[in-house]
Amino acid sequence: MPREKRLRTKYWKFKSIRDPLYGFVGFTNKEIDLISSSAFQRLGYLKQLSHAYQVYPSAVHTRFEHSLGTLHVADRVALNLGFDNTRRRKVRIAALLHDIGHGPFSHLIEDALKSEDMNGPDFSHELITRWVLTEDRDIRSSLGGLASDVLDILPPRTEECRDTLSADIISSGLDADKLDYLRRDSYHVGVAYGSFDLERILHTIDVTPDQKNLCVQEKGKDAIENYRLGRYLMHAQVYEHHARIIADQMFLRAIGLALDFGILDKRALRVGRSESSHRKFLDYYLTLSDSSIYEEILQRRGSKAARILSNIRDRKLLKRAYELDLGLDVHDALKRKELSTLTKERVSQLERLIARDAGIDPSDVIIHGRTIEIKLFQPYDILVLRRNGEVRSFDDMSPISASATPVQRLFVFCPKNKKQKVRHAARRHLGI
Amino acid sequence: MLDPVDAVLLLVHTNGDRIDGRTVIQKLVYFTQLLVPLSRKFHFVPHFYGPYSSELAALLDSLVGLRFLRAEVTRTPRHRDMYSYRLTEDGLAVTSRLQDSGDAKKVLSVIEKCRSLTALNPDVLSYAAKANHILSQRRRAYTDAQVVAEGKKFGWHMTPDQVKRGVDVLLDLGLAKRKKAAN
Repeated sequence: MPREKRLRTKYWKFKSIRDPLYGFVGFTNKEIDLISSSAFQRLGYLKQLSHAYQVYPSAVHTRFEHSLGTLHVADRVALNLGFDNTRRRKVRIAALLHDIGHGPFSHLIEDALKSEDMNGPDFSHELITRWVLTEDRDIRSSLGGLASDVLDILPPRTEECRDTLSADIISSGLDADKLDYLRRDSYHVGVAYGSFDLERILHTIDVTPDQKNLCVQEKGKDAIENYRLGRYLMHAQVYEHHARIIADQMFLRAIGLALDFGILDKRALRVGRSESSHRKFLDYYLTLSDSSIYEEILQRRGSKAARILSNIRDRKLLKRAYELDLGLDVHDALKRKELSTLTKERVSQLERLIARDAGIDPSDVIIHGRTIEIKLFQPYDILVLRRNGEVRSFDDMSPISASATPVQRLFVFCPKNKKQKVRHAARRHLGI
Repeated sequence: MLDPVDAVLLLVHTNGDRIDGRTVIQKLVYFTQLLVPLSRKFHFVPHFYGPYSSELAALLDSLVGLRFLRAEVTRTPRHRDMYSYRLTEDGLAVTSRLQDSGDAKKVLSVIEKCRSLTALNPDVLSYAAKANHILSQRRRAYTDAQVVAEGKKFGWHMTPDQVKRGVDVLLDLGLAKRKKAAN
């Protein structure tokens, strides 16, 4: 091998890590530094699919391997689009770090921290990712001068984004994140629903004529159809599985109680506007993992939060006492409108009333409204470059309707031995 | 303040219980929330056909699932799906309790202005929404040519005439002011 080629190979494959989907994945020296940081290593202790292991026991893979895989897929896209080394380097690192702001049980802790009495609805793991990149000493020093270019293409995307094409590789309807996690989740869960023809997508991925967005050539549209059906089926079979939803809702209830009763440090998880406040928040947040949050709460024996987590751990999950399909089961239009727009305060009030009538603790009654979307993707989510050079939204081109009516369900969960009493009380208080 | 569900249903109701086209309804809600206070605003981001809200798209699907709206989809000869939203009897029951409210009158005024200015043409509504998005970003005076140039940053390729048509709609809606030319 010529010396120059050998050096180039050595640069992109300073170290290689074995991955079950892609074989050996190469990393640069800088990427290895980032992976070795404690903020990144922590991702190995955050399960990708939160409580899905309660249904699929092997679904215990973590954000760590997903992040490595996302780098690999993003790199393949960048190479296929002919990116130069500078842009390629930036895209790889953004893909590697895209999930570094996730906390224990990912979206669940995010939801708890988004509540009005914590950090409000604008709070997100994407924001935390940005703080980690700017505030974490190890990450910042490994990134060096690349930080602002990487931040430019990480979500949430601003209108000042200088490189929207690279940003599309990191976050869009056809991003490296989904191209990795659907197949990875499928592999670890042990289902085939999330499988699709990645090679065909990578082969036909392209750039819109204005060079601003990612799209797929018309000849790749069947592979996209396969991908979006995979995405839909993974939602239906794995991500929205009712037992997983119950475990997740129980966990959220436990976190809420732990915050209210001082088991978790509410002040440490509240963030102010200043940079020093971000740093203080990260000092605590980055120490948390899936197991540490369980341990911290379970140590408080006798607390309601500990009891709930202990029940999840022992798989004594709450059961569905009552379930309404709002579109089908609620005949009165105004009642349907009321139940579909319940506020958090009204939900708490109803839970207390139902629990009182059923003679159980209010923390054991969970009312949960869920919209189960059949939608395969949002309009304009994926773009197709037609043979005549025109760019079209994929759902205009697909023979399969892009969306269907979502199902809106209202669940009432409770302990197994109280189902009947709770069902009666729920009927009475929900007015159905 | 109107809740977002009521706002969307009232909008359809005040347009004769029917709105044709997803772009049209997106832009009408975009203008409505600028002119009528809502309890929760939709987040709009720049898209091909102008500001677009995925939350609104999801809400429309939900309202169909809840039987307040009926959606009819027809595929046009150019292979585009055309969505037509119609208020159902249940939707009418929800809006009837709001019919005489001040909010309903405000929504009616927005739709009447949009109808008379644009005949609810999706292209014209789209030019207006794009122009508004650009003008509201920087909060300074722009010439039509500057709006054309600025629009390119969002991938919007508008002609000066299209921008003028859009800005005319904004002027009538009270969302923009024309600066007098210096002598």
